[in-house]
Amino acid sequence: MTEAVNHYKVVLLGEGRVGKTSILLRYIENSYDVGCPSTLQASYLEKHVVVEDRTNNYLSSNRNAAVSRREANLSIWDTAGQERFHSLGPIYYRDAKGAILVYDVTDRPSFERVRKWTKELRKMVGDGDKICISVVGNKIDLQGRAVDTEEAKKYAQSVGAAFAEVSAKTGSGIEAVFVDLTKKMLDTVKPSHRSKSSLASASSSMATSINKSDDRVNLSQRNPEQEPSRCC
Amino acid sequence: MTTAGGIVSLPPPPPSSADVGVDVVSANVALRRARAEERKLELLAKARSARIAWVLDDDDANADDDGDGDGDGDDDDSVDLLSGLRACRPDALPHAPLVVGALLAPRPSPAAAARRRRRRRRGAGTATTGRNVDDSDGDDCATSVAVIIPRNNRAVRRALEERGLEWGSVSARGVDGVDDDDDDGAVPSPHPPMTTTTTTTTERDPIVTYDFIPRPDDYEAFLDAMCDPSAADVVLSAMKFCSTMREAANVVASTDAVGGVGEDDAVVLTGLSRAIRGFVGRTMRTVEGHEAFRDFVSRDRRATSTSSNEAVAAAAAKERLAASIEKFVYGKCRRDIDAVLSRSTRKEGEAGDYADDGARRSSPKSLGETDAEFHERVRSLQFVSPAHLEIRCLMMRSGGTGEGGAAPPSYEDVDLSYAVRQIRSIHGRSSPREMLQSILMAHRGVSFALNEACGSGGSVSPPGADDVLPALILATLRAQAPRLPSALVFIEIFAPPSMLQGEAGYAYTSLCGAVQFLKELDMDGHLRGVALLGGTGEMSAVLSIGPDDFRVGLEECQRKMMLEVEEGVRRSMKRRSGDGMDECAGETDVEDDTNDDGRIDDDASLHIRITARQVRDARSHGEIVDLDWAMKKQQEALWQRGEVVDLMSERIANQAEDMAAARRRRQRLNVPPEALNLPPYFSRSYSFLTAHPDNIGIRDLPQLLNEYKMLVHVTELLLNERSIWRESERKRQSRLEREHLERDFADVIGVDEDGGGGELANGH
Repeated sequence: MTEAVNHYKVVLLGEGRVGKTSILLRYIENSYDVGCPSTLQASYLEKHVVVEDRTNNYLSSNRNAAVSRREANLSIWDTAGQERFHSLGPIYYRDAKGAILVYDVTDRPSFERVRKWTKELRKMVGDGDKICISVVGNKIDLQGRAVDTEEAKKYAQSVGAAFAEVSAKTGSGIEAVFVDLTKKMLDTVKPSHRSKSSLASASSSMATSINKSDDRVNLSQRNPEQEPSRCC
Repeated sequence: MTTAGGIVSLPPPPPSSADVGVDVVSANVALRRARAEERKLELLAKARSARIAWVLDDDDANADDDGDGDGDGDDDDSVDLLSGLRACRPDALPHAPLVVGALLAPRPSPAAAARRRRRRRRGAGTATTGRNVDDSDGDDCATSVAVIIPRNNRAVRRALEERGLEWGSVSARGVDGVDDDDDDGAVPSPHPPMTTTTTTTTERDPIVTYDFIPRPDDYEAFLDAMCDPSAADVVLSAMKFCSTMREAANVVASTDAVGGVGEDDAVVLTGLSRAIRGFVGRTMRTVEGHEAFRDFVSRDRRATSTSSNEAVAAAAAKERLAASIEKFVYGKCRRDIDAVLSRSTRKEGEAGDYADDGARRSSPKSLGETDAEFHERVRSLQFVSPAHLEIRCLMMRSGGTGEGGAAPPSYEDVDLSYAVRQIRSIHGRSSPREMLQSILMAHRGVSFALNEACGSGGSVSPPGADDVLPALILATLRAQAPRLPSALVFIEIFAPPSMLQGEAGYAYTSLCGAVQFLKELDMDGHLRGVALLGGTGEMSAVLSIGPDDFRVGLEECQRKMMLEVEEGVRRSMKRRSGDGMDECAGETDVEDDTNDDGRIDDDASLHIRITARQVRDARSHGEIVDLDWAMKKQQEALWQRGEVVDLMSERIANQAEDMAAARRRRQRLNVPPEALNLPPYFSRSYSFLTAHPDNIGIRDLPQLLNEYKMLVHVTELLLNERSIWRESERKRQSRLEREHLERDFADVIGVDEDGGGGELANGH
């Protein structure tokens, strides 16, 4: 009955104080579901997202919009944004299918940091078909803007990223960021892995990975050139 | 009636009447069948006991079913030492706990004591299940033995039984309560410094979603199932597989001595990991439908049947089964894998491509070297505090704000002991699954600890990665886990990729990040003052600390490291110079201390602590770890520190020789004597050895009976002689061992031969 659920790994990048954690927390709060782990920790989150696509079905007579439901499981990895940890980024990017780059609209340097990450992500992970990037400006509830909306939007377009401005404080736009990203990932990138149901994911995927491999200790592949070196 | 071809020694078949012949023939057939059956049973029993011995052979891994690592290794080693005492007479045994306890003085933490107590209680709960042994003259020393018996451990039980001690009498001593069953293994020991209310939440929460490691009782049940005769095929295939693994590891070890190439090692290790995974998968399929494991599997089902979703329950059960099998297999193979792993060379940062190109070091180092270097570095960085990592949620609100205030913000400290324990326990785990579980717990522990600290500081939002990662770095520093880098590589290679995807994968990645941060930390740059944050324009791994502070901190740490060494030396000097007798008398104090305030008197510990690591290393090198070994090791360590006079070293050499000789003697004597005098009436001619039932007639019966009786007589005689010989041999050996022990003991505690020997002899 249950269809395979796509799993996507999403990394959350952003400088120290831009409010990555707040966005994540707000997202949990707004759309709390039972499967999510305790909110005692906010650096890792698993989220089941349902995307409803409304497409006009021209074949049907009543011209109602047909709703197609698609599901995905996101595992959202928060990262440490301080500069001192910048070099650790690549560990976290590995296998990521989506990235949310957060900056603070009142803080110019944090936006410059986003450019840096974008470059790095493209370099490490590849182009749009490998990873979906979403640029998110946070704290729009605050006065004293330092980053212009249009400028950021233009930049996002230029690097092929989605763009949104949100406020973690009021919660505006948060959910949309994740839903849009999910939609885009479902459309364009291959999932990190697939599984039947979210709960049994670990076990079943592990079982299959076990079944596939064979049990012979493979020594034949190694040291073809070892022999000559030994006789010297 | 036909004559079987090729039988020459037979008397010609007598002509006999048909009806009598048939009777005899059938009787003979029955006899032969019975004999064959008996022989078969005997062989089966032998094979079975060998199998069971193998299954239950408590590797460090199998015994390690608790959630924490720091005490466990020691306990297992004490088991080894105790087994080394098998040869002692019971009345010599009172020294054993003292020696073992002293050599392996546990960390004097209240938590450890609590664990110990709990284990002992747990042991008592099942004490009655121990097989009873009649001999109870070990009763008088039971109390002291109980001190070092951590729990209902098969190895200890076996060792004691072989000594003729009754397990129940040992473990029941000094036990005050009934089984407290709140320790379910997945959640380890209490988190002492936290307040009680939070302890429950922080400890209970982590197990809600994850069922990574087999619960101890699950694993026990699995072992029981493995011991069942009908599980022989599974056990045999496991044995075969493990020996294949060992051979493979040996091949690698011997060929790569020339200087391995990194990629080769990677290929080999990947091959090994695939082999293990394949084996686990196959075994799982076998076991699921296997008769011997039916109880185990259904037990699993029952345990999880509370889940609403049947499919989920089934999957969980399967997972638990896989966990048990994995734990078992890795427990057997881990040593071989480690041997390959620690000498494999990987370029820095190559592990999982997680480093920048710039971070790659030119010279490939073996993982063992990397480990050592890392450990050294961690030890010298002990001065690092939350302020240096700017863990923001620990910033004091009371002081000036971080941005505008002229005064530098001050930081609270955070209690990371839970995470530290988890990190320390990682390497002691056998399967990658369990290691990941430890890492996950460490990560959550850090989050919870921060939560706790932040909560008290006024903020309520849980900490994000901005705070968790630096705190994890701090925990890694404080853990000072010696072989963390290679453990991480081990996980990367041997854990199935799917296991690295969920929260455990996140925790693993974070720990990798923490380790890499520490590896990359530019210590020279700090000292020269160029590595300030943003100072070089590059984003590099640096601490928020001035060069002067850094130098001061570093020097202080190095001084401390020196001091530790000196402290050890001083203590041992003190010990040797006099108060050895107190130690002897303080034997019961050891227990009292453990019971009362949870700390083993510092004075009860001997000079050099033999770490679990050393024991494991020695074992992986094939040395026999026993009391002799411990003594030798200790002497060596003392000698290396240059505080043993030449005379001492001479003595060590002599001792080592003596021990070796003793061992040789023992080995020789274990071979049964070849030429025993035969009893006079024993002819050694067996008339019916090759006879076919068809060829034996009624008139052969008297002779047959005679020979049979003779054989029985001789067998009985031989058996009797054998047991007498064994007994005397045992006595002789225990005398020998005891002499050794006393001599060693006298040497170690530095008592003068004339004064101390007498005391010791009277001591029991």
